[in-house]
Amino acid sequence: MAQLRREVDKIHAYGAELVVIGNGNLQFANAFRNDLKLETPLYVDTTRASYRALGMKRGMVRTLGSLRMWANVLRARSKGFRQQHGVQGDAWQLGGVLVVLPDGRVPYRYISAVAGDHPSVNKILDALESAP
Amino acid sequence: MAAMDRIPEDVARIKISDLAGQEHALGATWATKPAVLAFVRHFG
Repeated sequence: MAQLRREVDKIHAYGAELVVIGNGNLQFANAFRNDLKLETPLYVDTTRASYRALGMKRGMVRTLGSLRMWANVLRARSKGFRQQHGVQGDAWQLGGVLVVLPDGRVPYRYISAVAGDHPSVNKILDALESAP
Repeated sequence: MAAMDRIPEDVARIKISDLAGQEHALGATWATKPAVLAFVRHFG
């Protein structure tokens, strides 16, 4: 998320928009927006229907039970990232990133396998550049 | 769903809420321009 936010100008240069979708409630979402000074569209899906429909993974083992996840935690902490207010939303829900074109086609899709698993921003930008 | 598939219409109709609590169809986020949809694990 932080990496994507830093590249929002490049996303806009491709005529696209960064849209953030979370699964916590509106109060959490507003706090999230204020804390990160987010200027991009932000939505909530409290039922997580969109997460399920688009194949996002969920589970305690995926969230806590892998060495790769703990490596991701160490990497994030070494870069100074901290959870500001604890978990606000479904603690076991994982995320992902999709690039969706106006006709509904998906030239890029990344589904996180474990907590802290994030896509390459360069691959996202490449998908925007290559989109027909 | 593989890359370059299309989002099914029933998925595009899933309701999400903006920060004012107003409902929107998920598909509205890409209706007029390409969207990079970032689904976050949780807020906080």
